[in-house]
Amino acid sequence: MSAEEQYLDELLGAYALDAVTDDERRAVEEYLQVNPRARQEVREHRDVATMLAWTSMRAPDGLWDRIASQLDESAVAPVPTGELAEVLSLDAARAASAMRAGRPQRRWVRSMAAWVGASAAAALVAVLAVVVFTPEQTERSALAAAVEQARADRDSKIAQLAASDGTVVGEVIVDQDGHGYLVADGLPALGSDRTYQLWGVIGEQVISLGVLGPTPEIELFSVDGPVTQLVVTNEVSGGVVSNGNPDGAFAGSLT
Amino acid sequence: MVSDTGLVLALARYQQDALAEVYRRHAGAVFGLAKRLLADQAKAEEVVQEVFLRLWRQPERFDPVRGSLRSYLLAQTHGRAVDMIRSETSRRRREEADARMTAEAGYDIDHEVWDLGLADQVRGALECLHPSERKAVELAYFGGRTYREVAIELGEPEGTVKSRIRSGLTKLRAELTARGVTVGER
Repeated sequence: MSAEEQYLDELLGAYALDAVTDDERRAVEEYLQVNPRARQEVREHRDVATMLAWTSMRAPDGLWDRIASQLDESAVAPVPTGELAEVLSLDAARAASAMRAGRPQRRWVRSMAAWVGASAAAALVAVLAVVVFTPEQTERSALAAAVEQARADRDSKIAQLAASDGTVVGEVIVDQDGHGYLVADGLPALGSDRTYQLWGVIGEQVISLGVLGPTPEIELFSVDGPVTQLVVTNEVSGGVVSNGNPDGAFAGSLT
Repeated sequence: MVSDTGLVLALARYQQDALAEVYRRHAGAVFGLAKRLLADQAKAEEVVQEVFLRLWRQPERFDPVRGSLRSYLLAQTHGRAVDMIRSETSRRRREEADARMTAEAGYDIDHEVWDLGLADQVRGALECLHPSERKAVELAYFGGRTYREVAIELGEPEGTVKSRIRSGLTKLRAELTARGVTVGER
């Protein structure tokens, strides 16, 4: 280890606490770009700082209202209570989707990459995203009924998700309103540190449609654009914002 | 329950209810840290607004691979509060308020409504540090000082303080882990 690396290593704790000068911060940030061990150390220091700052203080009354008044959309922001139960229910999901109709879709596209079928070598370049509706928090029977209804609708589009060897692992149905259902009855279960993530291809854009967890069964999602292909990837727990993992992906075309 | 990452993904589609849920989960911690650093209610509220509006406008800046959402929000909060502290006008106000705080409470852990179990663990872990390490970490993190300023305040060499901050954080993590606290999942 060089003297400079040693000097920068010694700064990592102070850097994680914002206790360095601007020049030192820039030097450390350059160092972090090339040193994964140092990045990990800073992350660990920041995790500790998070614990130090742990508190269950209440934010002042009225503060949320001031934040909500500055949000970009014109819709009134809901009061932050509960666990988004209304978003998680199927009926509310449909209502929310209907409310969103016509609203601008927010995307950041870093680059375009053709991502065709199960071409696992293709670079995954992503934009975002939608709410994931966890099946644990929905009525199973209502879900199954909604899936059947969508499947029976001649205006719905259906894709068979398959591995690169052709093995079918699930089915995706997207109805005419953009409500999507993933029936993942053949996806192998992942470990708790991994998750499946669903992506949709719209034109040349690859969009994350949701993080599915390690053992998805029936998952809801929604799309705003003309999705032509769907891909399920295996990602680190929590999912990724962009650049999905192409290894072992499952894919299918909507017809 | 929707994960924090799922909520941030939802923010990308103008899902205000997702931001409301993030606020419900984390605003108390964000406000608590800002208030503690700035010792000024109005300034702390200003920081909370900035942090949540920034998440709304730039959700892609949160990378779940690099840590939890709470860790990200608190890091943003700390950075913004430190910027305020280090500005000249804020510094004068803070020094006055800081003197009052120090006289009243010292390390203010008992004056906040912490999550009780976790607070006990964190307090216990802090007490396991050498006093010089604990003081250096507290002054740097909760005082918003650079390690050079901490060194001057403590009358210690800069290199010594820098090392104490680093070793103090490392020992804190080990101590919390030994106490069964999973660091990094909050």
